[in-house]
Amino acid sequence: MSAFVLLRAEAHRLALVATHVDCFDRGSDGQLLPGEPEDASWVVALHDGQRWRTRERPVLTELEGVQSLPPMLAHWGESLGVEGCVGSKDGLLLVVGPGFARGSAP
Amino acid sequence: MPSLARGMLRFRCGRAWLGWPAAEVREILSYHPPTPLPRAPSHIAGLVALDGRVVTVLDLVPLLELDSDPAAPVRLVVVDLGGEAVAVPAQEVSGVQDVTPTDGADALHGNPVLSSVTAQVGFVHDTWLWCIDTSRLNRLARERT
Repeated sequence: MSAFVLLRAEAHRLALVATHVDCFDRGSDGQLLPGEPEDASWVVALHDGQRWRTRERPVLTELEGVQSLPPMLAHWGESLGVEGCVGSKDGLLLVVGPGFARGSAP
Repeated sequence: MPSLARGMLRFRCGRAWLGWPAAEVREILSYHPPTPLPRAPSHIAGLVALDGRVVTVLDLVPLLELDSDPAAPVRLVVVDLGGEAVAVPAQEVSGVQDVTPTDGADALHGNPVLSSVTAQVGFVHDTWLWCIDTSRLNRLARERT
């Protein structure tokens, strides 16, 4: 089992590897994740100094069975900071790293 | 003159009937919506989990610039593309049959993308059937992803 912080961005469900996360709390000073509204009020602070802002309260959870992306999506995943995927009760989640916010910026 | 294309699975993507070597089809499943991917090209419809494996869903309508059909896909045709399982949404799946080549220059006119991945054209059940060269399609899909 590995720990993840579950987030939403542009209707996509993301699983951020928890070892990258310092804390999360209410706030308004972070970088909006793609597709999130201006009034999004949850901020995830990463160890590298990034602050990601999203509308829904992040959830810390444990999941198992992380898989690599299929080879066809390797380049896409690398450019976006998507490292793989993992199943959950809500379906497949994208496993992302700290590069996601930069890679997915419009 | 192209030879007889043996054992082609016929399925419809958008309004185009395609032929795919049945030997390179792994399974045919009921359609279920894929998990969409942010900032993915339009021909990448998302991911699905099949028997514990995660598989790319490759939409041939935008990739091959086919005419679209408002009807939702009803099947996922899981094919072997360059050694990798890939799921292709299809509006309809017909049988497997041998396809006699036809002079399809007129049918291909106007769609150079489809033409570039077509091994040969047949005329089956009163409609054109584009038999796909899967090696060329594999290259195209990876170049554009």
